[in-house]
Amino acid sequence: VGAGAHRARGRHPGRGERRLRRGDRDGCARAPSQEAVHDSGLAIIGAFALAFGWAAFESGSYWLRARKQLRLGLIDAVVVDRFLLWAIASCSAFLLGVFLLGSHLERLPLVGSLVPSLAIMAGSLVTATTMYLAFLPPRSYLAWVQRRAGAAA
Amino acid sequence: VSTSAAFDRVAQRLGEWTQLDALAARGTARLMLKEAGLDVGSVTPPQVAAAARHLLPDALRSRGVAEPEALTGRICDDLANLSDDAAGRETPERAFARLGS
Repeated sequence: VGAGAHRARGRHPGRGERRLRRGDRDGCARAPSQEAVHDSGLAIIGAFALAFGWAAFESGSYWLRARKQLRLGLIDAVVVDRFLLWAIASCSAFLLGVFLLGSHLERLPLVGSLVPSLAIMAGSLVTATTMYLAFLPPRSYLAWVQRRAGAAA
Repeated sequence: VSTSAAFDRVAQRLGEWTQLDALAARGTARLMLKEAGLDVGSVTPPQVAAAARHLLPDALRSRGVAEPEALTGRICDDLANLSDDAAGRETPERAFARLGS
């Protein structure tokens, strides 16, 4: 029986072998083209930029309104400052998204190039710093915000 | 745009207690809240009262209303009796006040 089976497998591919060949063929057929990958990247980065642009606009407009409330003593100065920090962080991420979108459209390499690396670093640094001050503010920073609001009032 | 009960009350009282018509009364209240950076849809009675104390006398004076300070005081007293329909509602201000704490 064993010899017959071996002879048969020699003439006809086994089930596993057939699956492997079919997988290779299907894999090649389903592989996305470079254009499709490029378009997907555009959509993802575009959505990223759009979301942060909207967040920057909303938090910026809240900050402007909160400043008016602060003049009347209706809101805490720290909360007003957090609106500003959030707007800066969102704006930084939005600008980074726009830059990445432009680079992607121009098909510029992002890895290993100085300008994109510096832009990504700067955008990330601004976002991280403002998020840190919003979520984990040092006492000295909070005191400075209150002092500044008191001086302006 | 839906308006809060506090805004409606101020506009109503301005219409009743001054010579302003309903449209002018609502406009006066709306401009006052805009100058204070408050939203007519979510503003609370204490916020309206605080804004009125600071801004309403001048607004009424410029519209030729007599005794604006006394009228502002009456409106603030009236607002104190109004229940806060926005109590417990989540707002961006409340969410941002919780950050870092």
